[in-house]
Amino acid sequence: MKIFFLICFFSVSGVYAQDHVLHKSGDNKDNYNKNYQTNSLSLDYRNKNKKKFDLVNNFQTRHLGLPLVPTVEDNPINKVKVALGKNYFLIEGCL
Amino acid sequence: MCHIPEQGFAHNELATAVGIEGRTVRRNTPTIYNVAYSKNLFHDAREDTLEWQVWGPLLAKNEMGNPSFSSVVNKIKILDGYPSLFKKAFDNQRVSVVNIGKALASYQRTLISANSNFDKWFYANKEDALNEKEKLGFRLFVGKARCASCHIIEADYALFTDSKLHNTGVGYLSSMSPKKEYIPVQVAPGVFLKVDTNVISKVSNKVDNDLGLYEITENPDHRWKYKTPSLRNVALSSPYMHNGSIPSLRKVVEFYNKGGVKNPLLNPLIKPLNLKIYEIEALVDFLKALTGSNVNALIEDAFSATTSHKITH
Repeated sequence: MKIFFLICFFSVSGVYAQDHVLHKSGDNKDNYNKNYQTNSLSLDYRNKNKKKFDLVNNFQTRHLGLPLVPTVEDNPINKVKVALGKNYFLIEGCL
Repeated sequence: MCHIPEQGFAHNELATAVGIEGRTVRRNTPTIYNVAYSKNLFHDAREDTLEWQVWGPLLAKNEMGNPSFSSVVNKIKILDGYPSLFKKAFDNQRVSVVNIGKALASYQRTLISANSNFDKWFYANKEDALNEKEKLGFRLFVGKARCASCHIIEADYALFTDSKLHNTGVGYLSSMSPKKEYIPVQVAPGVFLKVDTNVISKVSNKVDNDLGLYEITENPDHRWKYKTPSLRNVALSSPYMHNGSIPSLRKVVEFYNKGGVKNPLLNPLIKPLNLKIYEIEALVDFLKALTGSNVNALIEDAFSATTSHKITH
């Protein structure tokens, strides 16, 4: 009987843990697509050390040994554009 | 697959990448680190803006193999999330040929990487950023080896390219050499089998002869001219030359040490260098010191791309 309860306990814990990961606040099934469409293209990626890495900032910063990137007048950089290009480049189209 | 983030945004495993359905691609995948600074694109410099360059591989039948501009636009229109993001990114505009080019160009422009050990030493006067062998390599680079004639270093920045096209003999060699009886085929990393050329011909696409800039200008003097690549992050983007025919940096330096490959159109700057072995090694060490300090961050960022637009929970 004890073994039966132990199995039940861990089963329920496992389900809860899985559920907790998938459905944390703001990330539930109904909201997922909305979040995906607006925020999930790695606009605010943080690396392994939790340090924020921002491609747009990387672009705008002067790097030692390189000049600032020449301005392209008809294609100013913006976060969503970079995220779109990144996702299409790496996943859908070009890699 | 061509521009693999962990392979220098190039392709380290193949001389020339494999396109859709295993189709043969003629030229080596160049890195896209610092492509924002490129004044001309592709090995033969046939495009001058990233916005239009991206359509070359997308439409090439042996690369991404999309049949037309509109087919790409229509594919993107049905990807979850993309149409609304296009509106957000482009001031309420729809998915279009122009906007796809702009988005892809924008991402590539952000892949800037410098602040290498060389930069810290040369531009920030950090004396211990390079070791003595690397410093010797630098002196050779701008002196005896004459690399800096084409891979230019300016007083306050270095793009390591003159943005021009040159004939080093690599193209001449592959175009004009007699057909080899056997071709080494890599069956596993570092493991090669010699396979009869006739056997390979029976099962592979015929690869068109590559004449470099001539294919764009039709000027016979432009045969086998290819663009000078930047050398930033060069240690990450093997194999080398426009056709990936040289597997390592050391072999590249040895190639130039011999004076390239003689041919009637060889650039007069390419001459035997008479470098000693320790000088070749120093040059290679110097080239390895051109790796940017943020490459790992850029690779990690690339891996953070959403794995598929189809993901739903």
